[in-house]
Amino acid sequence: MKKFLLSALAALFLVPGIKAQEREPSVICVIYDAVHVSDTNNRDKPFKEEMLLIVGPTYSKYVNNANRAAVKKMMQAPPSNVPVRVAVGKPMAVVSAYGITNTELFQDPARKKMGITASLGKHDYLMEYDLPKINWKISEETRKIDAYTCQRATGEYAGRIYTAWFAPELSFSTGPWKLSGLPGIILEAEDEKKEVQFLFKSINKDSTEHTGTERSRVAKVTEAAFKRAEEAYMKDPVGALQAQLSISDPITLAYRDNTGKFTSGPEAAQLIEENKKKKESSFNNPIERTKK
Amino acid sequence: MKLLFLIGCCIFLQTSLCAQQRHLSGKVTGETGLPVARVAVLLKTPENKVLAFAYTDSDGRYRIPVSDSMNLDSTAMEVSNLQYHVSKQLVRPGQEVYDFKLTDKVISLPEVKALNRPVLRTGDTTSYNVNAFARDEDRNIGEVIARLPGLSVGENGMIYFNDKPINDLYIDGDNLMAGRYQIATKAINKNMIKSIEVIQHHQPVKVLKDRVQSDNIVVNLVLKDENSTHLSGQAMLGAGLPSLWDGVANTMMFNKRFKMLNTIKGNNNGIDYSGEAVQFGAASTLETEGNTRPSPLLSPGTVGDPDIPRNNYFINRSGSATANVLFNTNKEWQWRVNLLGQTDRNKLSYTGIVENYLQDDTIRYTEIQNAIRRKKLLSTSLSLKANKAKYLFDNVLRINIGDDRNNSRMNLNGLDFGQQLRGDLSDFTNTLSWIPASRRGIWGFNWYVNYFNSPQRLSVDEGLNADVLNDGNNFNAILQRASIPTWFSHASVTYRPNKSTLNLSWQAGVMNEQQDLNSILLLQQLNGVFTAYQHDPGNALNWRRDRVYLNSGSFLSRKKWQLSLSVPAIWQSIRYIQQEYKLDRSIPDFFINPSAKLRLLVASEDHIEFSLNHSNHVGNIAGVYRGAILSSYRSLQANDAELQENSNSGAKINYHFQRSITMLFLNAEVKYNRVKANSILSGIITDDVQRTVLLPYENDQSSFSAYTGGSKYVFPLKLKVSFGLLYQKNWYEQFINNERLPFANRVVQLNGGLDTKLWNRLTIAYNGTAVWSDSRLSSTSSGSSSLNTRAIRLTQRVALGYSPMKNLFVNVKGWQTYNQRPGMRDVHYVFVDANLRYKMVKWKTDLEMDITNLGDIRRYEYFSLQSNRFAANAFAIRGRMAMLRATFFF
Repeated sequence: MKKFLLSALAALFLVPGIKAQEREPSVICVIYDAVHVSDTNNRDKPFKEEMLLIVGPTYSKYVNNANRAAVKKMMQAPPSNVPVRVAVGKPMAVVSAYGITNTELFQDPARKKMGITASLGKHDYLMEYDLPKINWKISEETRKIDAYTCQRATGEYAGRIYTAWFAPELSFSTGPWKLSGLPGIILEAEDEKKEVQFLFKSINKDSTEHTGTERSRVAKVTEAAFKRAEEAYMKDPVGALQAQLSISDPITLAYRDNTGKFTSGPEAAQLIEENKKKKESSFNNPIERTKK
Repeated sequence: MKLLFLIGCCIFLQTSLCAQQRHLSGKVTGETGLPVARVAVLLKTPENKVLAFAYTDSDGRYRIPVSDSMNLDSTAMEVSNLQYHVSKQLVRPGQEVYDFKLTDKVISLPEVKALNRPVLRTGDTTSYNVNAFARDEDRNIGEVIARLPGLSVGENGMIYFNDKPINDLYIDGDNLMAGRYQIATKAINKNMIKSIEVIQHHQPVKVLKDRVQSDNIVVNLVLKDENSTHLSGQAMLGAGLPSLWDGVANTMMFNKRFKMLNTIKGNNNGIDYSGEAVQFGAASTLETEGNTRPSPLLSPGTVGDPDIPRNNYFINRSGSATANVLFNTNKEWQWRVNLLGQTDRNKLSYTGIVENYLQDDTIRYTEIQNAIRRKKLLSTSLSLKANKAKYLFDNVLRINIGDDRNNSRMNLNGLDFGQQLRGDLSDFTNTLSWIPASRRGIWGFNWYVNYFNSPQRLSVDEGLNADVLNDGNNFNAILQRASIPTWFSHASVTYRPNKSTLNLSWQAGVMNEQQDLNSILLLQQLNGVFTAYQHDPGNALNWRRDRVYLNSGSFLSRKKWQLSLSVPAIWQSIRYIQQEYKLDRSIPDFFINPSAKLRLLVASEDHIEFSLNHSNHVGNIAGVYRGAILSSYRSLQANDAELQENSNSGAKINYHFQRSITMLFLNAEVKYNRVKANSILSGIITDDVQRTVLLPYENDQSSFSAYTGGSKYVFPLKLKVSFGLLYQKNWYEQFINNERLPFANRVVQLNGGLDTKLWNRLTIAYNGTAVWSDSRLSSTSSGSSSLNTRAIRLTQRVALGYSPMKNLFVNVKGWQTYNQRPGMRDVHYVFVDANLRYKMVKWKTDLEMDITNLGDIRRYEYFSLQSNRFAANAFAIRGRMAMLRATFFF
């Protein structure tokens, strides 16, 4: 009985143990150009982002490489104990243009888990999933990417059939975004229609990165709960942030566009509104066409 | 029952359906026998392509489905994972179960061929990607190295890493050039090299790896293709005006087993090859072996070379050939042969005014020299080496022979005469090391043996200084001969016990030196007969130095600091005999020369180092001979003192800061050194002759210096910025005409440089040095003495390059020097060179047009100042030159 109690207790502590966002030093970093034809009426103007895949011995992290520079800079700044508003002036409620990746995506191939962190105002959230299982078909076709001989594999995920080029020499079972499950890093992938592409840009052996989250206090939520919180935040970013900080001081509304440029004040509100409309009218081709 | 039947049917159907699909399965376990979960097991074709794969489950089991359509001939099963060694099994027909037992890999990181990252750092190795730093216009790897942040290249080709000279340059891990790496960096094409590695704390001896801390820095050129059997190289031919020619042919082949680099060159347009004969690090070898040699006794009496770019004044006809071959046998033995032959003839025309300032008088003489200098050198080195995990065997035999002639027409204070200085060189060295590892420790046996002789002969075809040399009687000519043949041997045994927390090492050694100093001064009288100098019988000095020493060293290393200590105890006996002067001295000595070094590891790449040392030195044979030697036509030298003994104490703090990833390198050093000597150099100056005597007065010489320098690379701008600041002060005493005068010299030196390429078109390189120096009497009584001097010197170099189209490069180089000295007119020179180059890619040929010294400056003047001696020197230099060169690469 005692034994049972003990193991039950142990189990209690171990259950929340998805370790996807665990921190370990990086071994390899791959930079991709992620291309997404988000508007099929505007195929010549796809949405483009530079993404960074940080691969550690057991985990990997996939983040926006443009944001990454800003995050790194912030991390290098001396830690301040003073409240945020003193440090930056007024607190800012930031709304990013639709499509920009602000999330961190973690893969834990060994436990077949995946984690995504995201922020709304000052709150950070973590959502956990099973790593998508893709039934890859390997072909014997090879291609050289950088210094690596990559082999071709095809598989279906979320309503799209992807062609992936993986490097068996780099024996890590991971890849860009949610793609994984091949015996080697996926250095390049694209769907049949070339609407979603992860194009190889460069690879390096950078040991200064890590696979952990840069966000400080993440709350574990379900995807549905996050969607609700997101909707509420988008409706009234300033109000939501005021509630989070429990202050009544004025808060600036800011908008960040695709290029990372910040606009604040009334102009921002206008841009946010435009962006919303644009999203409703033209973002007609989501990356994940079917929910898994 | 029905249900059961149905289920049974289903199972049957299932299996029959699966019958076309076989499975290859098995279990994967680690070294300890525990199952290894979530590793990929791959089924690979002979071409190394993945046919199918599966991951192991938590029990280490895997199942790879195999369809009948798959061709399994000569396929293999493979487990490849970061943490384990690659394990492979061939697929055999009929066998369906393949179990794997994995062994752990020590280094868990894969070899990543990062081609895009410009700089990588792993442990002590910083690796620079050549593609990221090379420019289209670069011809050889040396030009790329000079541009790398943290590295700099001196005028003579010596490479420095964070202001410290590197110990050697390897080509793909092998020391092919044996110290003459400046030849290789000039000859090797940048396209052959993948990356340039700087390895700090390099321990070249495998047996001593991880046991003996080393401060060596080595640069390794990593080949793109280490299995190449292609003979590559380049051939260059050039011709120009006024009647100039230039030619180079290099051939090389590098692979793992065999490495070869041969060069043959010749020119008459100002390129000096003598720098290629210098073995970097050879001087420090002589120092560590204790085989330091006295400087040559006779000199042509000229000032040094002018301080402008050599090709501007070097009026020459030179040739050089080298052959360097290295062969690695299967059994880890390595053969190496290095041959170098040089011949050179150059002219130097010089006019000088020398002033010696005394406290109340200035002695001045003028001098004109037109010298033709000829030099021949043959240098060979044979090496046989086995550098194995169990032992090191290394034998190097070096033979250098050469001859050196200086014929000059002179004019001293209006008197015309000719002189010839001739020197021959024979230098034989054998170095043998055997370092075997035994169960309890590592032994080391070293034996160094050397024979060196460089007899010299100075003849002057005029009876100069008759009152000093020939009792005032006129005579025809002077002939001075001098030589110091030397045998030297140094043998030592070292033992390093394995089980020692202090990393102890014990060393015992014996050193023997046997020398003779022979000199005779002959005067040709008016009747043509040679007579000996009357005042003394010359020198036939016999010298023997024997030394036995015991050294205990220890090295303590902790996470944050490292301490090394060395305490050698030395028994030395020197005996020198010069019968003609009734000189027979035996000087027994015992001294301890301790040194200590503490290194604090501040961050992963940074350290602070404190070092202290105290050592005793005894002068050499050149300090005890009694007979007068005419060391140059206007200076007669002799000694009148016991052997000079001095003790040297020094302290140093050094801060080394390095960020290889962001490419920021800084270092700072503060040094104090004090030498206590038992004798002092004294000069007696009369109108035409300087007589120097060592006088037995105790005196101190001390020096203080502070240096800081650094370099930074700005990636987006492809910009390298570097700077250095030095402050130095020296105190010493000198006897001038029976007066003992204390001097203090100060030097402040500032230099800065930048190198960038803009818009992929325009290159800008700047390098500037400013030196402020002064020398003054430090005693207060003398006030504003004429011995006090000051000088400012500014040197700047600017190179602008422009590439108006692909494969066409235009370069303009400017070199400026500015000298200022109170009471003298300012000296200011600007030299401008231009260069146009076109690369014919199809023809693998470069065409090049060079115009040097656009301003057609034909005379260069400069001033030098050494304590109380001032010299104004004027040189005839090369005027404007134009060269056309074609270089073919193969």
